[in-house]
Amino acid sequence: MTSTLNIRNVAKKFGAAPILRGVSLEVPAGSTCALLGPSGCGKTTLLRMIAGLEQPDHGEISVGRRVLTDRSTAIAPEQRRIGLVFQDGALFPHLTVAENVGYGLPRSKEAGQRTAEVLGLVELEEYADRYPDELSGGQRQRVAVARALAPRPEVLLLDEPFSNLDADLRERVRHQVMELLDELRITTLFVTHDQEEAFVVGGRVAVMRRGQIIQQGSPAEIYDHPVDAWLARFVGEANLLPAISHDGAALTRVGRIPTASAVEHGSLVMVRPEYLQLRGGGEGVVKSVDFFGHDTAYAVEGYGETLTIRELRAPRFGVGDRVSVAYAGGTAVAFPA
Amino acid sequence: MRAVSKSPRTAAWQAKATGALPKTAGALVGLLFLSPLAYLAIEATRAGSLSSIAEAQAIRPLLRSLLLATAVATITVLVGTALAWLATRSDIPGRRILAVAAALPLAIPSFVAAAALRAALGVGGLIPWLPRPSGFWGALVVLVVVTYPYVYLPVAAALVTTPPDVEDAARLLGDTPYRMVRSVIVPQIRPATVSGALIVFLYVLSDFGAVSLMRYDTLTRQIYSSRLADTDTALALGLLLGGLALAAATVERRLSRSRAPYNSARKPRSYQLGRTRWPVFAVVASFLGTVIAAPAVVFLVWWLRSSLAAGSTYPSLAESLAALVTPGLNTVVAACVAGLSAAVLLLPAAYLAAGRESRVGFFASTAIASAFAVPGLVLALAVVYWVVQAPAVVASLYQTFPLLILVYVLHFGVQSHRTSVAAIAGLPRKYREAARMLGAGRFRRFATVDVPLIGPGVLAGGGLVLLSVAKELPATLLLAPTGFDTLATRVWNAAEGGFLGDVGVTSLGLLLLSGTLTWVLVLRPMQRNISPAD
Repeated sequence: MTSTLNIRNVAKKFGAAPILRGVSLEVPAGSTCALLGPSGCGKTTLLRMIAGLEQPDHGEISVGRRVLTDRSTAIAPEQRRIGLVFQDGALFPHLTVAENVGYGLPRSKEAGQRTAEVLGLVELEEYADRYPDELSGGQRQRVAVARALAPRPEVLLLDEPFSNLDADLRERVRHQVMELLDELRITTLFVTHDQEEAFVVGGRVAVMRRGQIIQQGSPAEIYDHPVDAWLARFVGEANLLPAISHDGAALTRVGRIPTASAVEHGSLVMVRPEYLQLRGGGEGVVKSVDFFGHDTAYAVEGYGETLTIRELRAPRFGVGDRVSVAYAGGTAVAFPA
Repeated sequence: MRAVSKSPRTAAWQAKATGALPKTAGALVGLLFLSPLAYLAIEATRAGSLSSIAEAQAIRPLLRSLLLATAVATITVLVGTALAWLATRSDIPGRRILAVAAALPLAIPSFVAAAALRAALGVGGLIPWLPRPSGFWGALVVLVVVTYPYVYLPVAAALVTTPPDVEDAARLLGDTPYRMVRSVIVPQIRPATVSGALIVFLYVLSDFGAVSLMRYDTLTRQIYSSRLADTDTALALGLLLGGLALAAATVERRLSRSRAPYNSARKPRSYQLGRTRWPVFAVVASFLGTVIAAPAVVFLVWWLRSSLAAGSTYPSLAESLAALVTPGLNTVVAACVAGLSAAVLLLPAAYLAAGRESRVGFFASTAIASAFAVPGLVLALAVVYWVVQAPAVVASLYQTFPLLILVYVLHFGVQSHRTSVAAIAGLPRKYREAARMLGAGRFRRFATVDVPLIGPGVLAGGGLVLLSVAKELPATLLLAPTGFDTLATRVWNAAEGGFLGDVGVTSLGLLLLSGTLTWVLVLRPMQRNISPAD
């Protein structure tokens, strides 16, 4: 059974400092939503409120038709049927893998069966009798996911579950776990501060900043149409070019750029580095060249702000070369001054 | 205000209910620990006996107590710090063994050391040409030997956790070694030194065994001798001593506050002793050898001498060993029951104190700590007067086993309390939260998360109480049921009566017991935490 998670107008202050200022979010049944934000934005507090470990001052949280939190209700965490995967797993150190996974199951004959089944899902059957300190970091997080899934929760919450793993391992474990959650079609809220991770795991991404959700949408929407300059830079590299309005497009120092939104005088137009290209000779000067193997990033001066340009090829120019920058197509957005 | 709950099974309701139980328990525990001294204060004021404090008869013992306590504390700071530095930071030969051996005198009760010293020297002793020690100097030597580990242990721990980067930085910034020690090392170990010194100060103030056997008339000895003949004076002196001890404990709390040392991945720096390496080793080895082995040798000699002497009226070897069984068992039973009771009874208060913002928890912790600062003799005295004057039901408890255990728990409870608080505070919140999210209610969380993860720490704290009780003398003398001998009271009675053979065999038994307990409960855990640098 999986149900829709609904958060309506949740607010919370710690002392005088507002942590959450009226957050509303819906995660449809069976879907995955990534909650993305810088540290201290309130995303973990929101997660703990859904879990019932904290109480909001205002607002309502419900799963399906069950109200978990509102003005007159505060269901205890242990009665919410919500699974939570902690940042470092929080596996009980004194219990074996199987005992950890079986912890949330009622004592019955089926408990052992369910434990084996869930361990099978994360491919750790042969580790059932190990203790957490005998596992690798990636295995531990998979056990933590299995433990949260075992009691068949209606909603699964993940609190930066892979951030303690090395980059390479993180990608593999994340891929395996997210594929599994997709198959199980369980309503999932995934908290992260890593933009790349949010884009990979989330069918939908909600971006939080200073206690508010500032934008929700698909990863592509957020990347191509961020609501403001801060978000544009938070989810990727961005060039912000001063522009004037001209014939329904933006006129900038690198030429005419068609934008999705209306341009006013003094607007800034955001262009991603891969939507710009270089030509030899011109008013720009190459200040740095970073070669990453699959692409090359140039920093170019001479257009007001230093511009970043990415090309899917090996370096063609060196530091000090004169170049000109041109718009190469792709989405650009204008932000009002 | 939080949301008001409709259903009784809600988080807010649970939080309220969970809070009420330990709070009541914590408040009761706090009052219990304050009650003996409060009673003493009320009685002493009512009897008007406070005026006798001002009389000359109280001044001299008071000055003697202060003089002895100050002298012992000063010398132990030097001895303890020097040994700690050698054991953790120097290249002295056999450093690992030294690190453990230096803490062993913790196992020697002061009256046992005093009895050994008096048996060793003087006419008829092992070294007859030296005078039999007594008075100030005798008490000083004995008390330094048995208390310096209270400085040594915390300072060694502080020296091990001091990050070497700071010392390197000081040297690179141009400090001479001497200035570096003064500006970097001394400030880092000062909290440990100060708190160790004040524990020694309290120990000496409350010591009864050593000063009695050395016939040095401190406040404690005065209280004991005047307790029956002159109740008013005993009460007044007890109150004075208790007040003094509480003042010292308060000072300790203020001075020993320290910044948490941050952990450094690197091992602390080790220094070369150079040409002095072997001479220093010789001094330290003979000091520790004497302190640890001498009491055992003295007792063995006296015991063998008296039981093997021709035509001796002394019991045979087998008989004197058999005579150890009952007091030995009594000691073990009393110590185990007290240790376990302290660990269990103080658990609610420990939970409160581990939570950050509980006033009741703070109150309970302070009350528990203050009962430790009050000398065992004074505590026992207060409980005796209190119980005897209480209604018959309570009065019938006088000189019963439960009352003895209660006084042990009151006096040594803080050792268990501190360890339990650390264990509880050290349990990350996430485990209880993870259990909650998996549907575990309050009792299941306690049974499956708290008990297994906190249990070992709580029991270790009870173990420290157990060790203290095994060595305890004055409260046991005052409160033990008639005919209930412990090893400690046997040693004291034999030493008072001059039966050195009995002193010998009983002390050996006691040293064996407390030595084993110290090894298991203090030194093995310590080795794990502060094994010296390589």
